[in-house]
Amino acid sequence: MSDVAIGIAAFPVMLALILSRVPIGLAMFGTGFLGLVLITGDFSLPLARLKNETYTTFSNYSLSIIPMFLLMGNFAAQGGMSQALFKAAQSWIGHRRGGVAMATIGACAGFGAICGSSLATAATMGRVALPELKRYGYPPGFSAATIAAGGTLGILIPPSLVLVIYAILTEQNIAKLFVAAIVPGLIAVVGFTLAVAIYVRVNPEASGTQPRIAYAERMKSLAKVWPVVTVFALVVGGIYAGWFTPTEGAAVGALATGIIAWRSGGLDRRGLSSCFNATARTSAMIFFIILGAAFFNGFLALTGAPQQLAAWIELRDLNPYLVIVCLLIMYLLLGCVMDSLSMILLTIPIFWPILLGMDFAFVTMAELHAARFEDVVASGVKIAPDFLDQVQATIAAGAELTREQLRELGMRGVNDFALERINTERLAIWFGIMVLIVVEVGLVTPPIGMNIFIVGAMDRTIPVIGIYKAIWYFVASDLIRVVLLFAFPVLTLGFLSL
Amino acid sequence: MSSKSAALRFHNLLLLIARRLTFASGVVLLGVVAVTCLSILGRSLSGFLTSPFADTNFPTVANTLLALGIGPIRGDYELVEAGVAFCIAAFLPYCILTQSHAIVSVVTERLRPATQQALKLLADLLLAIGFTIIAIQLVSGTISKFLAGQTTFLLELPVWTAYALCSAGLMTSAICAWWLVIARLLETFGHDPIMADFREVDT
Repeated sequence: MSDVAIGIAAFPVMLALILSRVPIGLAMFGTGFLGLVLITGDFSLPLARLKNETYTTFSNYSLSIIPMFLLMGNFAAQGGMSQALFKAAQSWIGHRRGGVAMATIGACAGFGAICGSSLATAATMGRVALPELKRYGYPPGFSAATIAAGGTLGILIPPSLVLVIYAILTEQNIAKLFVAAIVPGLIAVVGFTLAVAIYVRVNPEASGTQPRIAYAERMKSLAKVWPVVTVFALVVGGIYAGWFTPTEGAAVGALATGIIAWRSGGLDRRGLSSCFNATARTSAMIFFIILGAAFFNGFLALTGAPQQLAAWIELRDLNPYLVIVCLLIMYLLLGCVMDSLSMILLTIPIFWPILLGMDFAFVTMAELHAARFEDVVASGVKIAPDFLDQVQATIAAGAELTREQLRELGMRGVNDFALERINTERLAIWFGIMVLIVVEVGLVTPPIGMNIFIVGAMDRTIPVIGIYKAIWYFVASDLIRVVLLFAFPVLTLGFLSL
Repeated sequence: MSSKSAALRFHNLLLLIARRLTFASGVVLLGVVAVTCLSILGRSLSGFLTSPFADTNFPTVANTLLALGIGPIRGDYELVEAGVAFCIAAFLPYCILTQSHAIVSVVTERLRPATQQALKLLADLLLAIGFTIIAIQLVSGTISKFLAGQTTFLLELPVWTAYALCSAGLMTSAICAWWLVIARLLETFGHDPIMADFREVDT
């Protein structure tokens, strides 16, 4: 068998292992390990790799953001902020039709702003919102679906663990990805709220409301959520402004939520211990998957299969946008058998090179010239009037500046390389946010739907079928959002300047 | 149950060790958080003290403070890296004992109970073998680092100590993984349940 054939054959083997209940990280690790043995002929290479790879993976500075973000989220859960967020959202919109469910969505979004994990958001908000939804007479299936869907906001609204991993794999700026996720996150909140509104109109018996609350009262409840706003602004703003690295930002966030949890009295020895335990289980799980994926991808790269695939696709000269659509659909399907992080770790190293080989013109050379020219004008450099007119005419016509004009203006570094870097960054951000949404759909749809399991486990009387019936309203909202983001890249990329 | 079986007692003992280890590494993680935050604080302070504003308004104070060593913590990245590596390795036993690794059970839960049990046993066995290989190779890596006498760049800490701490975590993990195989075998052949389903207890 050729190396490429071994590489291709490794996929069904790994999937078979995963489907027979072998831990995902182990399945990747084992397949990668044996694959390396097969193509190199003996055990020495994989064994030699293992001497250092475990430590270098565990000690990777960029990856050390993971346990710290997890700790931050667990502290936030312990600090009673979910309660404050829900109360605040409830006091503002609880009296509307479907208001308590809408408040749940709002509170989930707020919690997502300080927690980077979907499961933790669903679990934490579930504890607070589920009893309230029950009290106001919402059907149990719909209540659970609302929380499960709201939980996915935890990962869409920055900070987000999946986005961190994606950024590392595609070598992109984490801060920019975080900021790019804000508008799609807000669209998600609006979309889920609309989903609730539609549901309660289709099922009028489903909407309990609470009495209207006075504005003074509402303001008071809003004042209690200031720590959430502060922590979010500090962490995401601080990373974006460059005050600290993303890892340092996670540490600052963990400290801040830790202090809040401590002041609220939630951090006695038991509370601390439960925070550590939750952090431990998820961190260890994630790092084991990362180690396994690194092994698998290292093996795969050695077989040359991804390069062959990329070359094959390039030869077909496919429409790049069509390729993106196919990849997104594939993520939706893969989401039925895998968790989001494993999917990203496994597929991005294969798909990203394919996308890199394609031509996505988010920004044209003429646009780049125009933007740089404005910088030159703004910098107040003296330009001869007739030359200025000439350049402005060129730009107004939407054409690229000539070599002479560029030299005359002193615009350096405005070359194909710079343009490609800009377009690559935009592609990475645009694609990444869409992938983030489609992989999250897998968390709320059968057959695995981890978020649904988590919420379902809190109240065993909720019929799972009922959750699945109601979840489609939210999944539809997810899919519409992906289509929107696909059709209008400006929604994700609008904040980037040239 | 009046008298707990030896197997259950051993399981609980391992679990206790894993929990203690998790708590200890949680404290280490807090330390990492503290070092990072202090370093940021020191960095911003020294940035402020060396600014023209400080230099014109209170040069003596600024220089004294700077001379006292206010600034980013030297080698903070190295401490973060070593600390987090230890945490992850020490978190693993708890993750293994509580069976928290990501799995896909959609397909298998439709199979006959006996087949399911066999597959679980197989997965446990593979996990134990995997962790044994990882642990042994890490120990071997530790020995090479020790022999090479490699130190970290800024703090000049011997790299092998960080490796050794990680190895301890992974060896414990391997032991826990093998215990799961034994416990599963005991359960398969009629022993009372040993491994409680943690997925449902504390989320």
